[in-house]
Amino acid sequence: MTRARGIAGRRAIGVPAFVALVPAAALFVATSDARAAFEVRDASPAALGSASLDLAAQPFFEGASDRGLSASASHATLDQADGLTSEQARVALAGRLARVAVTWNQIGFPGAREHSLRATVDEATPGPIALSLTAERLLLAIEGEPAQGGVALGASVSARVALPRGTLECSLGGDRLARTGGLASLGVEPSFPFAVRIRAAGVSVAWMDRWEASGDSSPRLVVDLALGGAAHLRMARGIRPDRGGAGLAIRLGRIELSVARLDRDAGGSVGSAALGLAPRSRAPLPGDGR
Amino acid sequence: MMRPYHRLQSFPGFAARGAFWMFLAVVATPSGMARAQADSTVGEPAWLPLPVEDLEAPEHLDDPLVPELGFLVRVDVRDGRLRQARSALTATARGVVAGVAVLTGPRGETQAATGSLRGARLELDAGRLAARELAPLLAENLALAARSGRVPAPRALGPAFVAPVSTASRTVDGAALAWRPAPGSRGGLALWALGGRRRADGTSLGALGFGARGAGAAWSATWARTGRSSSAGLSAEWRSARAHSVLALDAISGRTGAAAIVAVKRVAGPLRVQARWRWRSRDLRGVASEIAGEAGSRRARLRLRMEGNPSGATGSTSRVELEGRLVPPGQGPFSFRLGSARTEGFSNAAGFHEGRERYAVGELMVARARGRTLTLLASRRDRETLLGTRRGSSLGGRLGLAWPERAQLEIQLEGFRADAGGGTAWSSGLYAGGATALRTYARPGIGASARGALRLGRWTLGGLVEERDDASGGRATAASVWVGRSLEPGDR
Repeated sequence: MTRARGIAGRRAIGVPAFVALVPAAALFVATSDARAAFEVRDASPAALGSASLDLAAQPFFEGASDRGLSASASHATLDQADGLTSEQARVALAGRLARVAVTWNQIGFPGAREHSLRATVDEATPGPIALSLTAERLLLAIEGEPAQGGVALGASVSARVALPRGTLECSLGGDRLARTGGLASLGVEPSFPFAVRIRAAGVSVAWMDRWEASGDSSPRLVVDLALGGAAHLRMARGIRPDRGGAGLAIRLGRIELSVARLDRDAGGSVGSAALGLAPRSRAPLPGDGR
Repeated sequence: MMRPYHRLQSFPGFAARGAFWMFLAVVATPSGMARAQADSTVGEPAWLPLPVEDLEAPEHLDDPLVPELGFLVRVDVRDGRLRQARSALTATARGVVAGVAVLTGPRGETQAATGSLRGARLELDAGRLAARELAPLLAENLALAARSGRVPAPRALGPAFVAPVSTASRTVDGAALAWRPAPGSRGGLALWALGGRRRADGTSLGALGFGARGAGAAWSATWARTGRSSSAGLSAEWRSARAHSVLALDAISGRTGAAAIVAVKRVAGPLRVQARWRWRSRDLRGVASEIAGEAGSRRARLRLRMEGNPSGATGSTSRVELEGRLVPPGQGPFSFRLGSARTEGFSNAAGFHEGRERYAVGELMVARARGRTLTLLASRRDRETLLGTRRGSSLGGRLGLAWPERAQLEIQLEGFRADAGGGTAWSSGLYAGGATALRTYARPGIGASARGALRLGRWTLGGLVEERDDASGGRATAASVWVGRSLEPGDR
């Protein structure tokens, strides 16, 4: 049975909290491919729709010339575990040279929660290669116990290549490459996420995976369909564990509503809903055709 | 110099340890000797990194690839502890270049000290010396090179004796004298002599060589004595106009019997062929050979290479490789290597056994613009073992950032996986000297490394930092930092 190793590894954990949290967390993380503490990075509808709780999700609506402030909040629940939820709040500011986003995420139930505060700086360059840096503050809080956590740093690079009638995107990342000592006891390890995506005429297909230091991986295929300019459908299939995700997002002016669910073939599902505020200017990505 | 090394372990954070050292010393590196990778694979130059185990002198991988350095300090650290430090200093006066180099070990102890004097034609080196460009059969005979199953290229231009770059180098404690043709001349006579004791076992060693080089040919003869045994060798090379045809040979006769290497190379239009053949009289199966054929244009080239050699008393190894390089218009190059290797052997425990391995390596530059490049890396190895097929694979990317005439930075991220019980994976390793080679790992893991150099006038600051986390939970870190000052006059 999979479990959050960071919680299971602590010596002085209150028995009632431990007994209640571990099986519930195991159900939650078993729905995805996550197997250690802080493995759930994003439980928003955009992530569930791509069958990827363990990767920072690509937004449903993404524009090449986004400027200004955007924000979103989401709530996710696990069908089988009462009280086990995940909440996320995100604020981003996009400028001419870079985009800065701060995301707060928590997962757990009353008495035991994992908190993460992630700051990301993405280079907004018209060139084909863009860089991104990420800093995370991870905290495991169990009632009656001192909080445990640390800071992790990561980086990624993405490339965009123009095709005759679309674009090819490739992204590689080093997730949590540098970690402070407190995260080692929680089982936080580096990983290598990567994705290859082809966009054309409002459709995109992406192959995504995340390789862990243990040798585990979980590839997934994600399909995005733009339904006009006001709606977006995302569906995905992943293996190890076998799972499927589906999400729908609707945009009304600057307001975005999205819902999604992730179902594991072996049982277990996660549902999520989000409300967001889109930035002011938005032009479609090359090859998007919206 | 020892105190800063002891304080290293108290520095917080791996990054701090890797970055906050300043090192002294200046290394005089003879002209042409500062090359990071010694590779004489038939079919060179390789389009993709080679496995470390296939390199003739892997200790040269960390040697900085820069022009003549008048000053160099380099420190290598592993897992937060000093591994070795190298420093050298050069002074020039009236056409004579004098240099001193020191190599220190993990406890700050001096492991090698070398002095050199170089004039226009005369060179004198003393101390602990490493031989470079020595004829391969002579180097094996003197135990200054490992006995290799591969067939190395003959060398007829005479060796150079330099300060060792690594504590793993095979060295001689003694002195060497060389008389070379005048710089810029098209040929002339050369003479060299070496005397001393082999550091590994203390055996007395002496060698004397003389030869000549012309516009299209070169030859050299050597006589060597180790302990009570002596040997004599002969090397020669003929080149046609514009080096379209090359014939080289290397022969030796001594205590271990006779041996010979013959190498040919021919270029005809889009076609290029190379072949090497080696024979050892004392070996029951004394012949090994390598052959390569290459064809194509600048945009698309293919190379097929085959090699085989005996291994041990009863075994043998053979390999077939197909390499390709495609450069579509407006796109980055795509290089690939497909190979199949077979190993036969006999042991008392397993009897006769045969192992096969198939592998593929690829690099694709997906994007390039404004001083940036992004290259995807991938490899796969399937090995047949007694326990079944064991697989290993790797996937990664390398980001290159360049500021023309000033600095460059490479950042590489890679994940690798290997089946338990004999699976192995290759991972692209960045080396401080600028070279890249494939390293073998038997456990899954994630690797991150960065390598860069900054040029300020005649000064160059270079460094390498890498970290690997594997499935056992272990973490390995390494760093190398070097500072050098070019002898070339004039700032850029």
